[in-house]
Amino acid sequence: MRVARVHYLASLLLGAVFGVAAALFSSSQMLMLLPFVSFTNLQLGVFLIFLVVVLSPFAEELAKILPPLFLKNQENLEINVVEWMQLGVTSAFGFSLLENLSYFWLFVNTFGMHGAVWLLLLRFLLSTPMHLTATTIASYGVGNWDNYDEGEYFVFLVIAMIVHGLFNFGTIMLGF
Amino acid sequence: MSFRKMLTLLSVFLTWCAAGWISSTFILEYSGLVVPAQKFYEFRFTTILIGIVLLIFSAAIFVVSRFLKEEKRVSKYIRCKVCGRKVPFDMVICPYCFSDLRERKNELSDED
Repeated sequence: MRVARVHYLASLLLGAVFGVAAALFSSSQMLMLLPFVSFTNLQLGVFLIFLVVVLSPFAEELAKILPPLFLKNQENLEINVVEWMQLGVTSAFGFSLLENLSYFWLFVNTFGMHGAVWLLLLRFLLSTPMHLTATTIASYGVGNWDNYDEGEYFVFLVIAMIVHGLFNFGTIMLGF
Repeated sequence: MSFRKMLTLLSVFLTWCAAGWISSTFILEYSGLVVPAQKFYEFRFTTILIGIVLLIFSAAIFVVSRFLKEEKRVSKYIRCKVCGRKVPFDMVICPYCFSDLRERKNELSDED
């Protein structure tokens, strides 16, 4: 079965759904480690950086690439590399929209409505393109692996995680 | 999706990124969450510079995409006017209802 428009819509929605799963995964990593870490300020800082720079990109990049894979298996789709990238980008867009909305809720509670609206705009201008770029790279690799069965293309998934991690690291460093 | 459309999309995407880089420090300032200092203004200069470079790239890609010729998609099938079924383009008579397909082909060539 060929990829149709409805599959792009499904990928967008599934991106948002898998986004929730990734957020839960990242949060659960933190919760699982809580009993074992005696949090001095430094340790907490290092752990949070590890969470944001390593764990979150890992979970989120996997979550964004899962919707096309899920659709492929459920609908028995024949997806070429370009379609893999298109579906990946759609999934990342859904993921990013949901993430921005969840952060908006957090920002409203922390900075008030005025600050939250500006920060939402900032996230939409900076964070969403980063998600789309990283997932394009990842889905290029997974698409090639799927079509040509060559495992070395998985390096693109790692590159996408590094791009995502560097972006997160950059935004943390800007805070200091 | 054609290569030309992909280039146009890439150009739009780069413009989006450029808008983000250029406006980021202004947004931070107007949101009231950052108190600007000398370092902040130096950082603003860098972000604007990156944004302008991205805009130049975007404009260049857009111009290149306009000069590329769009590949014309030629369908291998024709739809019969009488029975509505898809029939290979090189057929003259519909194999399902035996109606004449030449008129339909002439209509399509006139549309082109």
